[in-house]
Amino acid sequence: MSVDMQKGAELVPAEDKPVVLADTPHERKTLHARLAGERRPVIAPWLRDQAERRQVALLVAQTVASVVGYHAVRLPWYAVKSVTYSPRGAWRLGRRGADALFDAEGRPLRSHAIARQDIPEYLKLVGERRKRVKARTPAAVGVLLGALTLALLVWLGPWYLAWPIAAVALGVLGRVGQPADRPIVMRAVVPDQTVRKPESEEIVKALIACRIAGMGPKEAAQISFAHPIRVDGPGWRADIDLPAGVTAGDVIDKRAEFSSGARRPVGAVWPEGDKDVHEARLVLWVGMRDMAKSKPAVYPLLKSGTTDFFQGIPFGVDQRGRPISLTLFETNLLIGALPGAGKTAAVRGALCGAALDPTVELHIFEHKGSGDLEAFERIAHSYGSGVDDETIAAAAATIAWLVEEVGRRAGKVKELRQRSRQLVPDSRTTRELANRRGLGLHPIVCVVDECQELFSHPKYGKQAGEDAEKVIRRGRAFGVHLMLATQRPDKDSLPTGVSANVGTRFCMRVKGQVENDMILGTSAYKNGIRATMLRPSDRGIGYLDGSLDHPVIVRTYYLDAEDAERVVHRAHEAREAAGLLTGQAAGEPVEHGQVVDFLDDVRTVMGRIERLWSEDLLERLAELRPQLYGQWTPQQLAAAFKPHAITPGDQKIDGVNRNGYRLSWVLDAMANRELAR
Amino acid sequence: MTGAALVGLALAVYVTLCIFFPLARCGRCSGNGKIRQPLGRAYRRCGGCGGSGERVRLGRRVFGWFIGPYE
Repeated sequence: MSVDMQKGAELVPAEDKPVVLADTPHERKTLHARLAGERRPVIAPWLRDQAERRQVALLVAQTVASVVGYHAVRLPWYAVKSVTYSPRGAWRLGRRGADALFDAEGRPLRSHAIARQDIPEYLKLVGERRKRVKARTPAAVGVLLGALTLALLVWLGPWYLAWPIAAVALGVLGRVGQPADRPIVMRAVVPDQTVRKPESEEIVKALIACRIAGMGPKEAAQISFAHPIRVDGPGWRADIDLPAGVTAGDVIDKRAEFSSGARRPVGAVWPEGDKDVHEARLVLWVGMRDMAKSKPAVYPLLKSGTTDFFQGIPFGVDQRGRPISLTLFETNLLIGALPGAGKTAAVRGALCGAALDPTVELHIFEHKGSGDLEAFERIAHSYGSGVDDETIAAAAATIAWLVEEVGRRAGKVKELRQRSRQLVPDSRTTRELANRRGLGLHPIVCVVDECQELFSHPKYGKQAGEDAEKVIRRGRAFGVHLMLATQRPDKDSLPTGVSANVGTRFCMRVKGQVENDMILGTSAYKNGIRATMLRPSDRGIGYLDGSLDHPVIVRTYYLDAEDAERVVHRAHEAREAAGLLTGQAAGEPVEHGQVVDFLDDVRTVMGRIERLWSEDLLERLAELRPQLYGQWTPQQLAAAFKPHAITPGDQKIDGVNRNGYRLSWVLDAMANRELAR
Repeated sequence: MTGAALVGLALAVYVTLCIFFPLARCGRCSGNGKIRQPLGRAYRRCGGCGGSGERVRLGRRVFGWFIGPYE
């Protein structure tokens, strides 16, 4: 064989040997690669984060407490069982001792020697046995004497010796005598056998099972793990580098196939991309159990606590059970999902957070008409529920008013800024400014649930859409925020100007790419943020984009109507104590989100008429503002006059006496009010 | 009745003997292990016990059939 041929043979690589190319970078060896490299955390992240640390500690404490409690309750029953089983235990122990003493292990040998009639062998074995018995006898006598001593102590000794010895002896005997299938002490915590750590082989197999082009069995060797698979919250995290040409989005798309390949519930596998590294980096989080099946986290502020709207409000937890808060301040929120995906609960949760900051002024319009948000009526500045034209008109008017309010606020902030740069460092509202109620720069949150009803309304829809866009664009710096929720995100029901400018989006289960991108933003689907992968059972689970640097999967806190009622009760108390109940919540007549000056209205409709009966006055008022006064009764009218120290009296008109009011009373009340100001 | 009791007692004694003392004197050589030849003065090894002078009791041999060969 020539030298050349040998060389040629070497140039053809063997099938399974990796090719080492001349320019293979020696990543680990160069200094700058190390200096620029990702530094692994010195202390595990879950140990550093207080919330996570507390979560783990809580889990351990709960388990320990449950184990202790379980056994403490059953202690008497354990005693009864021990006593029952102890005779058998004594028998077993005695037999075991006798077997040891009399060399039971040699018995089959001796028996078979006899069976073979091998007499010399038998005699040899008997001699062996005799030696053993002789050697073991002293120990046996010692044990027997010890047992006898203990028995005598129990019988004749003082109670403080007798009782513990008897208890321990019965415990030991019962333990020895317990049947194998019914032990005296059962396990308080049954380890979940279904919880198993994902192995790298399993993950690779599951990835191949996704049948993604470029990631077949041949490319299996190209799938590599950037870090060891490690525990991360109630699950494991694997950082995977996919073969060249395959992106994380491909796998996210095939979540169901991956679940099938991994033999795990689909709700327990959460593939995500990590764009900071590269498109082929897949961050896979495998939960110990199905996220949809585990209990939803309890709303942290259910029983006590308040929020600071400027800091963020509790919204939900991520797959790992870590709390995720929602920053509503300086942003607007768009919530979208198929019906029944948990949209109302998400709105309720966010609203509860806003409600618990007493300075927040709430305007709530719910166009489903089901009263899902009626708990908030008693604290909302304005409230509407229904799909009728009137409610929609009210919502549209409120948004129009918000545009005006934003203009007013902008002027106010500008004026204040000219006066004091220290108070207004930026041209925006701050906590300090919000606390000075007189300035009127407190946060306003306007919720429109099922906003497609508003925006697709033939009469008010177009204008409302334009107004909403203005509010979204300009309002956030001045504390005016919109929270829109819709189940039909398309061009007609959600104006593009609105959907494009909203800062924070929460998208639960949707059907297709178009809906996904309408809510989460154009090309969200392409970037692997796909709420389409969620299943019907993933209620309240969705992608939250805008609160953190990257979109996260969040399961919202679940508050039912009763829970919301409890939270609102506290919010109401806080507002009442601070004197911050406004609008319809304070009993002021509100129309289109604005507080109406009732006396002014009465003055307007009375004109120059000296006296009017209640019914006639109401008729005139209803003509002026049909939505507001249309349903009023004379009692309500009297109640509205009461703060102004006016009570109805008999008015004789055309010889008929009826309850009514005089113009002079109204003018007096207005004059008094002027003087009081 | 008495007869049956006696037989039972004898059986119990025999079983006990079989368990604790499985060997008995060889009947053919009276426990000597060797037998004088009928014609002559020479001794030869007893064929019944192979020269040990002891034999396995019948009852114990029956038990041996049941337990089978040692594995």
